[in-house]
Amino acid sequence: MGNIVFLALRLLRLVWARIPEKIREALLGYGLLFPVLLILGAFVFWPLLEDLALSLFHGNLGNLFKEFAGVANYKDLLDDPVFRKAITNTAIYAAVSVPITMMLALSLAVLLNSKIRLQGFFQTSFFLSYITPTIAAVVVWRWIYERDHGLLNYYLGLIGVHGIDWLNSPEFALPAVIIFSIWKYVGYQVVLFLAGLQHIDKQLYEASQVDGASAWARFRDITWPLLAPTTFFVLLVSVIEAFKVFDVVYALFPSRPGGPLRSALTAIVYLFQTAFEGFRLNYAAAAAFVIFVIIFILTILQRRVFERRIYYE
Amino acid sequence: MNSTVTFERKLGWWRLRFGAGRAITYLVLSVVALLILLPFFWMVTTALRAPDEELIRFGPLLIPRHVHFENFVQAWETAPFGRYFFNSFFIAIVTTLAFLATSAMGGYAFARLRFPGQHILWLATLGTLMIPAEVLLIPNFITLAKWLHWSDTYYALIIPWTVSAFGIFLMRQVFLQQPKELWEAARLDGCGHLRFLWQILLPQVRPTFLTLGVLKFFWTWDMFLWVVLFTNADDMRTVTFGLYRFTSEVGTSYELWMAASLMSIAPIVLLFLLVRRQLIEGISRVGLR
Amino acid sequence: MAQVLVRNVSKHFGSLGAVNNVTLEIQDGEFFVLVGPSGSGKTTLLRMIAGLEEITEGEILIGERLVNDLPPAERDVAMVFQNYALYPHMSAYENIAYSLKLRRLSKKEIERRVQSTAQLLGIKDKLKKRPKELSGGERQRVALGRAIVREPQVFLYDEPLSNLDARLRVHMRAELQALQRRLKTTTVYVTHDQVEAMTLGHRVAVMHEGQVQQVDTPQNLYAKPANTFVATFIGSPPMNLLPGKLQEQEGRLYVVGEGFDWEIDSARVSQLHAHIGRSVLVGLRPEDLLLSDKASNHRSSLNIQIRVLERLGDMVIVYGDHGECELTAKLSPHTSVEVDQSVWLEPRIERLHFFDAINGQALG
Repeated sequence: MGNIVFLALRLLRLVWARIPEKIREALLGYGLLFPVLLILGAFVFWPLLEDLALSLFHGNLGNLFKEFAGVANYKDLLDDPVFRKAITNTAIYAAVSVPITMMLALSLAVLLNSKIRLQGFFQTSFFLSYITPTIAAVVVWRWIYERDHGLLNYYLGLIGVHGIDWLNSPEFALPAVIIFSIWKYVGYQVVLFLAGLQHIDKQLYEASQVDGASAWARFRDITWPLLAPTTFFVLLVSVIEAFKVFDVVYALFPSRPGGPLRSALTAIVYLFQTAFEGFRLNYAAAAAFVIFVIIFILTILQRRVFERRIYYE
Repeated sequence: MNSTVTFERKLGWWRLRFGAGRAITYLVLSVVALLILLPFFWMVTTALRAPDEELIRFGPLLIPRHVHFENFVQAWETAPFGRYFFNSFFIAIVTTLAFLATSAMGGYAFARLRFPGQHILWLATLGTLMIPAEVLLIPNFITLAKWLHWSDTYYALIIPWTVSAFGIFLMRQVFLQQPKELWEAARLDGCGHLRFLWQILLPQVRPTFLTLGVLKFFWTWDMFLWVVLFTNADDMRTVTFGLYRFTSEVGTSYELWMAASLMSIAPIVLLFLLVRRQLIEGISRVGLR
Repeated sequence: MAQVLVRNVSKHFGSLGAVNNVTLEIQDGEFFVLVGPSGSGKTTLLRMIAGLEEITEGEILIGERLVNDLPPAERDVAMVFQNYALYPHMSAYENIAYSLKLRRLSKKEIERRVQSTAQLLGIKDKLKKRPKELSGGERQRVALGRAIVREPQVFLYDEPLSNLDARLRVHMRAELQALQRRLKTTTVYVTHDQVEAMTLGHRVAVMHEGQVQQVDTPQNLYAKPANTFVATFIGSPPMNLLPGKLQEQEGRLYVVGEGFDWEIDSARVSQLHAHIGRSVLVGLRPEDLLLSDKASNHRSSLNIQIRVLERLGDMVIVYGDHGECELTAKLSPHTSVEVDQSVWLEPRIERLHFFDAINGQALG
């Protein structure tokens, strides 16, 4: 038996060696990509088509393609106040948390980029919140946000602000999510910005110092334009991440995902609830497609806007 | 004479300004570091506090009067955390290894091989970067749960996550940065593609490869939505999801919450502290994700 | 051990580095140099011999074996790269041993061969170090060791010395020469440096625009360049070229140009007779121009005004213009000349070179 296997292997080697090199290279290429294409095909490309198909039908869990609906699901979505609320909330979340996080991260990175001791310590501390598993961090923040005994209110109490019900009042639910996400992501962005800053040629700063530029002028005329590729990258990634936000919102308000009066309902949470709590899979598929298109357009748009401004090396 | 005095005055002024700027820099950085670290501090102090300790009476430093380790024991016994940890480790390790393998293979195929259809396949792979997994939730649920019946199996939690265009993209980049002569020298030495990838190329790009692996491990450990969707049985849950359920099951015993959270982040934080420099350097080098 | 035959080989891609119908016969044990400016196709040709570049047309034989379709590893050649291409994560020992390991030689045999190679190259005490910890010269030796240890039929060198500083380069040049004398392995060596080509090669092929211009011993390349390209490429400073015309007068042969009128010595008349009346380029090596006083016949000397002067210690190089042409002359170090001075230079008539003014080929 072992002999046969051995012989078969020898034979295979012999045959393999006989195949012209170009064809061997191609076969190897397809072989290496086989798992990649299989998984991406099964879990990205196929689902994208299936999602589109689902969204064009009415159906139920038993029969998802019960009757062709055309664009009816999309029409319903437009009139769905909950969906509109989810999109609006997500947009607000992105529009507030992304710029604040970025400005904060950029300032910290600039400070860190000066000749400073303990750079490693600061970077590590900032980064710690990013690598902390989201749910564990959320659990801690639920404790911090607690109304009566929570730590945030305790400290706010010291400066005379009392009794904010972070997790149960519609006004503060979304801000709570935003504060959390700033805390979580600022360190990660600091690392990216710092990497970008360290790529800028130090001689440029020396030259401008000789030219008599002030610190602000140096930032405006050298740092900002030369950092544009990094800024663009961070912006793109953060906006997309913001539109995908789920874990925080779902876990921060465990009794009612979406927060009080849906005040923190975001797009993916809406998707999840419609599909897996309301079991309206076809309708949710349409929503998913709309969200996909929004993210896609945002990506393209940012690329368009930024491509003109980036100074390529 | 006069000019010397002016010069000295100027120097002193600069020193002052420079020194003050320095102090402010350190101050700002320290305050931010404090704000970021405070929740961790509170997590530890709360986890060590007695259950009946007056909640309102924490002092400004928030150090518990007595240290109580029994919170950890209680948390561990309240929910099957052992099982959760096993699941998390198992899923994260297997996913990471498979992901590294497919990234290296795919990256190599796109960087160093030439074959018909390569360009189209490359564009298709890159295209998936634009499609977030979250929007494909519904069809993927149908595939995995309804067709394959993979709910409550490791397959559902591992297999879809073993490939990402990002990993392939990154590995392709670093492979392309290696000098071409390396492959030529290896070829003359009698090296085939697979051996070259394994013995020469991967050792070259080890820092990036390991960074990618560590990050994938973190991301997999962090996985939540997917676990919510595909696990019903308690013994299939990961630490992340287990912790989430735990908080609703024990009510508002915050010291238990914090003890459980602390346990659940411990492996990640330890791993991070172990590799922090390489990780941060790695991310700086490639500008990950 | 093996001769290398290159027969009508071509390689087309774009225009730079292409090779066009090259035929070469490299003898067993020969140190053969391919020299030419960058983009002349010399490296491409070398890589085709190695098997790293596909051959569009023609054939290559190594030791009477057609290797066109053989992968590099089976051609029994070893190559030293310009940037050495050492595996950075392996020690010097592992670098040298790697190809033997792939061939599944026994550990003992590998050890023996690596040690004797290291001995030969004088790097025995460096074997444990990684490429990063080695100096440029040591890296170079490890790269050589990697090639030598395989005991191949042919060594291929792709500008191996160009990354070394000037002093080390001279040193390694001598070592390479000694090494080749000892191993007697057929060697093909690519360089853009004509000094390297002249000092190392038994024979040298000068390449330009994908074609071999001339193959010959270094002395012959210098003494009898086949065309104006070789004439100006080999030798430093390059050969002067002056336009002129071959004329017969009263049974004597003259070459006449702007400001000169030289009688060609009788020994060469028969060679050049067929070209009488043609436009030619007269080639003059800088060292064949001698300072003369104006008293002598002014039609035999060239008058220039010195524009640039370089005193190199063992010689003085003067640059000046003669009509449209720049002239360079190597003069004795004791010559007292100054910039802007006007001087007369007299050629050694017997050392003149003649080229066809249109196609640049040597005449006679």
